[in-house]
Amino acid sequence: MKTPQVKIICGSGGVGKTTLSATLALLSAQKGQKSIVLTIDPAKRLATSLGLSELDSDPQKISLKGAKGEMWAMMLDTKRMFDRIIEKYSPNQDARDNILNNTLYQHMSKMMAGTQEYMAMEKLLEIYELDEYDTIIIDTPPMQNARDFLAAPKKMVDMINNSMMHLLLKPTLKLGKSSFKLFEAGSKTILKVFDRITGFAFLQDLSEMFIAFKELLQGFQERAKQVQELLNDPQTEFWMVCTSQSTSLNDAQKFLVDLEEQDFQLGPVLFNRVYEGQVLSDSQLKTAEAHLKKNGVQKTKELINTYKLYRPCLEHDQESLSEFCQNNQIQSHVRIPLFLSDIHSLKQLKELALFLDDHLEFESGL
Amino acid sequence: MLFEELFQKRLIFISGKGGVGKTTLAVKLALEATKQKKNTLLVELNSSDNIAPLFDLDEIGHKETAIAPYLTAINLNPKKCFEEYVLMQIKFKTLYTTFLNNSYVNNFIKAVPGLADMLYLGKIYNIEKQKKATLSDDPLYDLIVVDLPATGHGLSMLEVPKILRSAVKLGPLKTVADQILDLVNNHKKTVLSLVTLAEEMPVKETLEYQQNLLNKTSVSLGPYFINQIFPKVPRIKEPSKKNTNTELIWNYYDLTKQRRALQNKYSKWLNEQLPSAQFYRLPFIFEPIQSHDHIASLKFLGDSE
Repeated sequence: MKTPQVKIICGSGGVGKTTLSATLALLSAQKGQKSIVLTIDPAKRLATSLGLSELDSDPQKISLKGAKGEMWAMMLDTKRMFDRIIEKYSPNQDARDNILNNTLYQHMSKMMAGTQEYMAMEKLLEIYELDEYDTIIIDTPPMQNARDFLAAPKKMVDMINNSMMHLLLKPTLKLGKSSFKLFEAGSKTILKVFDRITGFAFLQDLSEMFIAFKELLQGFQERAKQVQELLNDPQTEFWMVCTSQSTSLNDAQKFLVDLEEQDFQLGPVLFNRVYEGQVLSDSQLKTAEAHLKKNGVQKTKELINTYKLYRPCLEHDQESLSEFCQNNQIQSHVRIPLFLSDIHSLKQLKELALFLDDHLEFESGL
Repeated sequence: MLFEELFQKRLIFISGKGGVGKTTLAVKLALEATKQKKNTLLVELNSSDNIAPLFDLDEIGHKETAIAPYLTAINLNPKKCFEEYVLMQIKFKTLYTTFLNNSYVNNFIKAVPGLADMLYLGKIYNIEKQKKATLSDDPLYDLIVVDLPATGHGLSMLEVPKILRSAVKLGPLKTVADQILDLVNNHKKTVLSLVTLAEEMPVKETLEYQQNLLNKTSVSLGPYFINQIFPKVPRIKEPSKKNTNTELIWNYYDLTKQRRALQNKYSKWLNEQLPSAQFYRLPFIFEPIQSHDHIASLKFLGDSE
């Protein structure tokens, strides 16, 4: 049995990750593979462009006429995934109910730092283990720091396992504030401070939540190891999407450093919404204007002036992107131009897939 | 006067889809307010200090820093917010030092769901209350502009105090949540403005965001800002004969024309979906934005532009 290819699509917010993830899944399907795209955002928008009324946490098949393979799409439901994991890793029913009934867990688990990233990883592993797909494309949550995403599973374990939590993991807190005297002096101080800043009731809820989590720790730890293996697998690639905006390029640069540090494999870099074309000089424009006039074009001045507006963009994109590639020794990249229209229908996704196919040496893995 | 009603508020939150220009707009609004001699504070939330370079600074950090006439900025750091909060809650200096000198703090902020968001909002609440002088009734800042995170996180951040208030029955956290909600839900003082592009996905996301805000929070929604509007171009008939250079010129003419037509369509759609909303439009900027002067010089588009 061959192992599925995994492509993790990353980049900062608003660069077009979701659209490009869907496009890559579409391209794989057109090449005869069975592909799935997993998106993170509440992806109603993506659903419409795929011709679905809604995406949910069950894979749905996208109807593609004439494609050799199959394309599937699904969305991550963070809270539901969290519940599922609790059910899966709980050693017994009591442990499970303790967490699922905890007030803080119910209301706020999805707001815990890194939860979304962790659940995305879990889902990825789940799909991977199904062994049903040739290619898995995962659209990641927008991030400023890639480390947060890559380290999510480990962080989850650390959080439950760290020393601060051990304090909260003492069942004696159940006894109420009087239990403070049971702790040694240092811990007592810390608990007192926590009490002052959050209130004891909150502290108790928190303590209960983490005591409950502790039962799951072993499951989490094993899982974190598997995720790490998957991320380091030669079949797993990180594809980066960015625009030529300096903030986007800066984020991308940081991301590349993180990838390298952790020995992850970088796939092609996709530069999105690029202004492509030569920067024509004033004299070239004069010649062009003469040519236009000769061909009976009216309002040549306005026409030339419209082009002139874009010269700073063309110049900036040319310079900043080649500088980026050089500085970061990018082996493979695609510049995706800003198209005449934005992409929000299956037809347009197909056109984009065609473009990518032309410009990408697509390793089908078949 | 521009934004006469908006600038009557004390607190303006700016949010929207990633990459639509939230920070640029936050800076733009703050600069407009300073033109009207309003003492303005610009707040970033633990970002990679995006505002600093616009004012020729290396960093702003967690310190109220004067960056231009009438304009101060701060980039909130959750750990610093936490320290300040702890200091307010705990009067014993020794207890405080013992506590903050241990490594638990960072873990605690990360482990407690929503705590970082509460700390930001709590800090903003305290800033809003600051006075010019000890005995003065005048606020230190006339206007506070906050560059919120993008859609998903922005929404959950505004949801946190409400959720926390129902999850926590009593204690200091509940008190803080109550205070924050009093400010954030005060329609006279606080408003949230969304920034968007006039394209299919951003407009849809804006409408979803608006619905979620209505359903899940009680914050008042202010004007909408539509960013990056392409210029109008005249109709010009294309010849069949083109060479390489003229083809490039036509490509960018077509791009402008078609993008502009799409933007008109989506602006109109957004208008229809939000009939009582107010809209401001900003032009597409062709030169990369590198300074606050550039942002200050941007002009909101008139109806006919």
